[in-house]
Amino acid sequence: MRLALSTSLSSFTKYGVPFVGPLDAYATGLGGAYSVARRVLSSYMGALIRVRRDSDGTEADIGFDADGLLDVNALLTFSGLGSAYIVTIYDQSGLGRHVTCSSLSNQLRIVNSVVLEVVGSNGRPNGYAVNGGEGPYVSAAFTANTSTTLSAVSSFFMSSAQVVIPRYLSLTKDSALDYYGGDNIGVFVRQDFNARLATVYNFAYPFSIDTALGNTRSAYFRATGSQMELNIGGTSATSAFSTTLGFNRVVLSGPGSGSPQSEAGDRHMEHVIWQTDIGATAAAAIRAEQEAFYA
Amino acid sequence: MKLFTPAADATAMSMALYELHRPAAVRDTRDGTTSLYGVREALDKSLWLEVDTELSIRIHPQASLATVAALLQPYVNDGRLPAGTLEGLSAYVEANRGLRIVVYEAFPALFKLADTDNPTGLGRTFEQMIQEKRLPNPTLP
Repeated sequence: MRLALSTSLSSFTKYGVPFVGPLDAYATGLGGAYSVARRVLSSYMGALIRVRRDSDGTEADIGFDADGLLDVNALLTFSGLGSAYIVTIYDQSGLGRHVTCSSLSNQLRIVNSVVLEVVGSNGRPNGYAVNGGEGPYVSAAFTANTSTTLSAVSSFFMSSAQVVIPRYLSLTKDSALDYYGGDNIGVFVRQDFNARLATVYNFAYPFSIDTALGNTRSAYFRATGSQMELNIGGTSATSAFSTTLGFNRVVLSGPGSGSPQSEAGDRHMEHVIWQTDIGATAAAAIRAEQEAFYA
Repeated sequence: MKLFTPAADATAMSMALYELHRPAAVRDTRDGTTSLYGVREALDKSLWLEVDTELSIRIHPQASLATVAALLQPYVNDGRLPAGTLEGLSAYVEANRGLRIVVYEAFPALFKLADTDNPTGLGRTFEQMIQEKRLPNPTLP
């Protein structure tokens, strides 16, 4: 009943003002939009996440409130006295590329013994990686996409020093971003990567967590066919990009324990992908908006 | 701690183990959780369960060990698991219906981590998997 109520009010805020999503102006070319904390598009009317409560394994969809924020009251009511884990993060782009983690032990935790997982001074909800390993993913969503043009903006919390975007938004298997080999075809990918994209290391390392940037951050990534750009905290680095392979699978937590792509203690807030180059100006604006929201 | 346990039928085993917590008969058709552990394919194409040794689940009152037992029966038949293993597991499930258990603690020794107390154990740590070249080394160049 609560979810239905939330949805019926979802076109307007509680003050009667039409809801404006933070991505409404950037909807063209979207390839997937995932947030565990908020509705990002006014066109989206569905649930934000599907969760499993630990007490008995029952699952439920959790929507958003009149302000477009995750309906925390509904979530906590559902999870009861125990914990709750994210089964699915729904794709708000309308493409239906929902990311799901079907194995119980690898699901991201959103309620820990009655307490909502939050990050930042704004206390935003997030998915906490208890064990690392393979997190929510959607297979073959991009199978037909042979384009090497891609943009992504993500907000996350890093548990340790690792490269950023490939860890949180790896698009495997034959993806240029699966540089590390954390997927099942690890050596193949890694060798393949080393042959084609060795310079990415030079570009990723400056963003290790041991800098003053802090653990919680928003970043954007752009690949335009000949160049990659990674921007974190307003600082950019670029690298040559020359792959003949397309992006074909979205992984939001990264496959494989011990991999740089996923570690226990990581937190996921928001990931957005475009199958176009949205340009540095738009990417920077979206990154800044996310950074302010999750501050 | 996470360790890796080999199982040719890893996916089926992981799904069977989840049945102990959430039998198919009580699930919603929209439920997305179908298995207990993740499954990794090693570089040699062998399949391994990614076992969280601390993971606990509540045994559902209607849980059945039948599928797990069917998957383990060949191990008993060829002597890799001692006679009486399935009966012991069945008794354990019966004794814990409605209660929480740490799943790894119920594992037969064969599937637990190999160490001095369990030299024939098939379980491997992540580091051992790398040393045995079953998983790629994550160290960046």
